[in-house]
Amino acid sequence: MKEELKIQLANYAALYQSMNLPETHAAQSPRGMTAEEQQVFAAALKAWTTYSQSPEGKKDLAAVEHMDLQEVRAYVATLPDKPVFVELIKWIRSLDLPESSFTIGLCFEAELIIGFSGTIGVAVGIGNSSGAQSAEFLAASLELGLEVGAMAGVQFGLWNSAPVNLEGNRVGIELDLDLGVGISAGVYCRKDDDDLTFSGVAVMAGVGLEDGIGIVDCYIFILGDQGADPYLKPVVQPRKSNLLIIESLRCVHPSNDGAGNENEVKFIFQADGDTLYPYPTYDYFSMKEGEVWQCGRSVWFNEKVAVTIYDEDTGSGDDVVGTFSISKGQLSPGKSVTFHSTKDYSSRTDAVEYTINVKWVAQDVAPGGA
Amino acid sequence: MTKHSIRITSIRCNATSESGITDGDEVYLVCQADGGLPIRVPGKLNSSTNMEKGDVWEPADLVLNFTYEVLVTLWDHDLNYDPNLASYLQSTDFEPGSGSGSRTLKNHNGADYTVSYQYID
Repeated sequence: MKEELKIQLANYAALYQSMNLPETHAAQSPRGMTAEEQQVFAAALKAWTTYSQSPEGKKDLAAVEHMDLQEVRAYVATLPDKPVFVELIKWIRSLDLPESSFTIGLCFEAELIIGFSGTIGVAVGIGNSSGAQSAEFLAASLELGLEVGAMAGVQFGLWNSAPVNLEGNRVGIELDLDLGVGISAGVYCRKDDDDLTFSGVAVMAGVGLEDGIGIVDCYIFILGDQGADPYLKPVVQPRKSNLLIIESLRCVHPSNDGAGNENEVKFIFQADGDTLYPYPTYDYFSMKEGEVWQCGRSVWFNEKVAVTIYDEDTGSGDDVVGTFSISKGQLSPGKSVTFHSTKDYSSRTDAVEYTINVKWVAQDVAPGGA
Repeated sequence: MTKHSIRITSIRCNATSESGITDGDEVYLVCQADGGLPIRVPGKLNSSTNMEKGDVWEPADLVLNFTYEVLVTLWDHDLNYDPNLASYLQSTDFEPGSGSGSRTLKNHNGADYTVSYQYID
């Protein structure tokens, strides 16, 4: 599983966790799964077996292991166009089902946060919503007992919301159905105070799934059309052996971007050539000549950190105004060190200079989760 | 294993940013200790504290545990929870030895906030 995807899933898990949604300890399912729904899931699982064992499916699923969130999202969006699922969806739409969405999702474990899993999938309209636009989604769930692993399986769902209206929290209650080895089923409800309202039914199949999930709290995010940008930008950092703080950033002289006497500053940091993290995570911080931004950004690293400072320009693209290369050998424990850009971004008519102050706050830290 | 804790006792709005579409700023915090999982305050999605000049927000028992540092960022959220649409107000980083006191955070959009904190242990 790609490191980038682990971090992206951790961001959603963190957002989910920060919602402080009350945990559900016991709940009665408002209904079971109808015979017709069971038929749909049996057909869906059969279609999945056909696809996943085909040369195309094997190739696609092997590639998923190396995808980040946007790539997985783009991939799941293509699933309804695979011939085997085209047939399946056509058949589901011909049935007289009460639900409005059918979903196909791939389940992943958010490895940086044990117990959390994410399902990245696509929802297509059925029933009254047959003509509705499809939507990609990410469901973050807390499932205690899951072991750390890679892609954990596939989930099919039937929901009473149109694809774009799936967003929100759900409580999943496991159904005791004999669907086969490694296959579990649940009824999902929206929770309003203590009242549970039926929202959908789902089955999950895959290696590594535990029987007896009992109750699952989850939140479904609809992934908006964010272009090349991930919907949530990376924030959570895997723990490495050293920690530094970019204490401050000084605008010695801003670039002349033609829009006032200040730069709209943001920077990207990258430890040891791994994930690119923006800071501020969103937006920018305006700086004028001589000003200091006490940004206080901590960075876990093993050997080196690269920092690139940008002046955000709407329309004409962002301009690089400073690049910095920080290596362990340049730092002293507990001391602030000033770094200068490794390249001068000044032009004949425009002097540009930024510096950063960096402090090495932890050395040789034992490995562990972030 | 966390070794240090601080409590954010209050956030005072001395002036709001100019970028909001409503009166005042819709303020929420993101607190991240040691580069780990960020905590959103208030926790509920889409929630924030509307702040106008002179308002004081006292978050309920906001204790932040950390080993090396904890970064507290103030955001102004507009429209919906999509953080891509949020405005960065300012941030401040606490390390062991930060003691108790207050810090004033400003930006060029007019935002001016004072964060008061108490070092616990």
